[in-house]
Amino acid sequence: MIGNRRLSRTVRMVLAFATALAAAFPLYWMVNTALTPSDRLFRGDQDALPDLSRAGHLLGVLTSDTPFLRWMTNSAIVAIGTSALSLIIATMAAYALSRYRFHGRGVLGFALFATQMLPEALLVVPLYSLFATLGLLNQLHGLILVNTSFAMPVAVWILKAAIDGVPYEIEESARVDGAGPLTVLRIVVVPVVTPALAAAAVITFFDGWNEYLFATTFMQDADRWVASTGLASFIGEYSTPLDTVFSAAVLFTVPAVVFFVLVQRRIVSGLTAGSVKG
Amino acid sequence: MKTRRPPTKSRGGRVITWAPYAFAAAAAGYLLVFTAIPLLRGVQLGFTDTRLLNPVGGEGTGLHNYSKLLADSAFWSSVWTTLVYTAGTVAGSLFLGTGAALLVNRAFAGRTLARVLLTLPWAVPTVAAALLFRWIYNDQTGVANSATRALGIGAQGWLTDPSVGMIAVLGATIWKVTPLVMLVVLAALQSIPDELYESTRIDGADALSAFRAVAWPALLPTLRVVALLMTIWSFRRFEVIWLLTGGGPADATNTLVINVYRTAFSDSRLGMAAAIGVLGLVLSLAVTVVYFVAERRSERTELRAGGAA
Amino acid sequence: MRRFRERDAGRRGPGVKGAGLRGARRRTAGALAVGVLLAVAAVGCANPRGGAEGPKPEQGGTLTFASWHWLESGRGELLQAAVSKYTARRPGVTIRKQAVTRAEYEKTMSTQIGAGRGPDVFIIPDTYFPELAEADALEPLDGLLDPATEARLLPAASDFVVGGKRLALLSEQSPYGLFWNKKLLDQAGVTPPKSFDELFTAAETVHKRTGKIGFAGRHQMNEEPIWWSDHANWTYGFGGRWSDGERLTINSPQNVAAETAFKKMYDSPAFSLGDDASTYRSKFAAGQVGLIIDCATCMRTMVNDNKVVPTGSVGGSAIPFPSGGGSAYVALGLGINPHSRNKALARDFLKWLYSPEGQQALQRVNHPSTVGTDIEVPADLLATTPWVKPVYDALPKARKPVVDGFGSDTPRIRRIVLSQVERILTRDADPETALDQAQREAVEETR
Repeated sequence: MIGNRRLSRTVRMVLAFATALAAAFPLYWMVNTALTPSDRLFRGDQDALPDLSRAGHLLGVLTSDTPFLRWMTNSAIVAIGTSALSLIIATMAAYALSRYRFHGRGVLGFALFATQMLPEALLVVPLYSLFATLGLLNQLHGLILVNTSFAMPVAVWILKAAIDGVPYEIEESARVDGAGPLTVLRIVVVPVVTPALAAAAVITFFDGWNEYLFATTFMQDADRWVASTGLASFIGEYSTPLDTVFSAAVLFTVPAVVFFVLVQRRIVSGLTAGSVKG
Repeated sequence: MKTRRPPTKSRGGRVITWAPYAFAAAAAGYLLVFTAIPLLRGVQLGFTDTRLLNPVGGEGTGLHNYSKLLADSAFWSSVWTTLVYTAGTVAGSLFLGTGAALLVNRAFAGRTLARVLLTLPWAVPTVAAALLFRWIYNDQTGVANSATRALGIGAQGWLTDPSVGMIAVLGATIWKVTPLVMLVVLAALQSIPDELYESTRIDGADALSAFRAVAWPALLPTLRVVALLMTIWSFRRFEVIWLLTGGGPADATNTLVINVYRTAFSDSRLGMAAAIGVLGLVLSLAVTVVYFVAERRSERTELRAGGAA
Repeated sequence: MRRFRERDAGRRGPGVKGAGLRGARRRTAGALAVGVLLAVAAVGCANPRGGAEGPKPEQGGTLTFASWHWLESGRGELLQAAVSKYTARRPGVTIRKQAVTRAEYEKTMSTQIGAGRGPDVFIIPDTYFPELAEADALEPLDGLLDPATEARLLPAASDFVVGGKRLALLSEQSPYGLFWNKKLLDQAGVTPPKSFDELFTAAETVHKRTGKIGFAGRHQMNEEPIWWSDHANWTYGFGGRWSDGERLTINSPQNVAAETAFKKMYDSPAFSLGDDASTYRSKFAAGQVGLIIDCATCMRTMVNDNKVVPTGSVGGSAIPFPSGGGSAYVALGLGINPHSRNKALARDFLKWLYSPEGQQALQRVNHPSTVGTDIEVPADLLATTPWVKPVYDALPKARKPVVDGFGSDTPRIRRIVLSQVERILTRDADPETALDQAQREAVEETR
């Protein structure tokens, strides 16, 4: 019996690592490509192991004539802005949906869900007109606003599920002490749902960091592009050395990966709070 | 699971009536301005012959766009492509995501590392992933063909041969979205109390029947929701497909969303594109409705079964 | 992840319904309705036709200039240098670069101009021009140039005239040619091809003897607008046309012959299968491609500052297809957005660009493309492109890739034809049947 369990543990470990390596391989290949000189790549002469002495070339794109650092900064502004705005709106909405019964509650819940069905391609032209009128084109905060409309609903679900799991009693004592609803939300509820907030923060951050279609359509000046637009501009007509393109891809990927690894544990516990609800 | 819901809501106490409206106002206003109104405008465009260069100058053409689409075999093949893409993504990501979650649910040496590696693809920006897979799938110099040549399958035209184009796009998509499925399933698995496993083990059950008796019923609701989300997200997924193939080779990956984008922006036919978008939305809504109906029905069955026991 | 139980949960949740609330709701509803109306108005009517003359050139101002050339390494700096000659004359004026990738160019311009925004001055690809003209999305430029300049305009300048009205100025005309890596051809022991059959054999021999790519060209839908221009070299080269000016001739025997030849090349292991232009051009620059059909300007980008394949090791000729050099050219125009709020400035800029000083400056950017007028190309520029002479000589026989008589339908005809070409290439469809079907669909579409 015991031996059997140890065996199954070993099998599980081997299987888990085989799958993990398969999942990580494309990422490894991205770094490998960035570290191989461009002319060797085009000769089809890419080694399985990269030449680590070329690690400095990973930063090569920063000194090239494209404003890649500027694009990364813009992406960071958009991603952090999207995440912050989404969390503020979503926390309040989630609290309302979880704790109150009010008119339009069902409609709001459905509308939040329905946003996930809408193809951006259908909305991009009407949104462009709206943004033109509001003077939001070519502005990073315009991008934050449009990204939030897709990211915020996801945050509402995660947070609503988490707040559903918080016993109402802990709010009652604060209310008896005369605290208003906003204070209760801020002082009592928010601290309890931090794992869910972390999960929602990561998901909305990625939405902002990744977004491509609106960023490409709404931003005119190359200085105001975000990294996804900048990187996609390399997939095109004119020849930038491929190792430089891939070093840009690596640099664009690293912050998201680091951020993700740092908060990974919290994501699982944040989603746990949400997913136990049945 | 419903019995474990905390008894919070029925004990409301004094509720200030404006509070929920104030709390929900920001989200509601946001949806109205940035989603509902542009959407209404989009729906309205579907009944016109509007061109991209003059988005307010279109003339009403009634149901012309729709009748044209419904009679167009290219449209239906685009619907079919969407269904294939969605089914492939949902099945692939759910199977692999659940499998991976089960593998790393229990402790073993290096579990944290395995877990991090398994979830990394999710953190890769979509544009970077598309760029990467274009290189991996390159006909002459891509590593995918080095692998198939080594395996004796021979080189494939991953992004050039219509019969494998969908597989290539599915591969990249599943790679990218599976980690999210894994994380959610893992979260659900970790919320199953250990005692439940212990009790089955005392009963002498093997791993498979323990899984069937304990984990599967607990996972099922989560899997259903994840399946629904993956379905509607796949219906509207744009960037990976657009940047990898642009809908090709030979329309093999021309899903409805790609079709909308091409019709609007390459052909400048905004009105027709809106009509395609609306039909895609109807498809998405239909799936959601079917899901909720099925959900209700299975709930009633569960309740009845619970009452009988 | 259970988040969709709002209704059920709601029924159990706390909540108070009262008459006061109803009143409040009505007021909220009223305010909401006003907000919705305003937003609907914003979405629906954001199209202020007109624009404005704006400041006088002497007063200065900012002029936005949209082009994908800003992004092109080498060429972006040259363009910057050229326009700075203008800003030196007009010290108060700043040129603001709007960089858009080639692939996203038409859709970005259409979205912006459609919403009543967009750049002041912008580059206009020939295949995009008819659509802009039809939608009144170009400011007429009649009378902008003096008669002496008008007299020196290249024939292709008339591509941007509709019904006698000049809607854009020719910015450049780029000829296509066949180019080869001399070293690879020598290694393989083949001579520059003089016919399609020789081209095919040369490509295969290069591939067999050196292991490199024999022939490269665009062949995929995700490069649709530019693939169309590239592909026209095959159609025109085999004596085909997309229309006779009145009726579509998509399934003509010459067109079928062109597709059959292209398919033969595509199926050869020597072909650059799956590579987009940026990839095969990089491969050419890395010495990995034997022969290539491309625009002359693109070839200059490939050999610019290149130590592996320097400009002297490249050969060039007219495209050696049966019609004897009938090939395609790409013409780019420069026009003024009717929504520009700086029209006076924009006209002043274009006027300067067409002055002798402006044309000389632009020639440095465009070479080996032409500029809008017939000017002497400086010898130092010609020396950088020893392979271009035979390509220039073939230019008078070249044609634009717009479908004659179907100008603004070109994008839709393009989609239909290239979809069928893709079927020929990837699904082995019979060229004649496929083009028959394209003909039927296109006739239906343009009726």
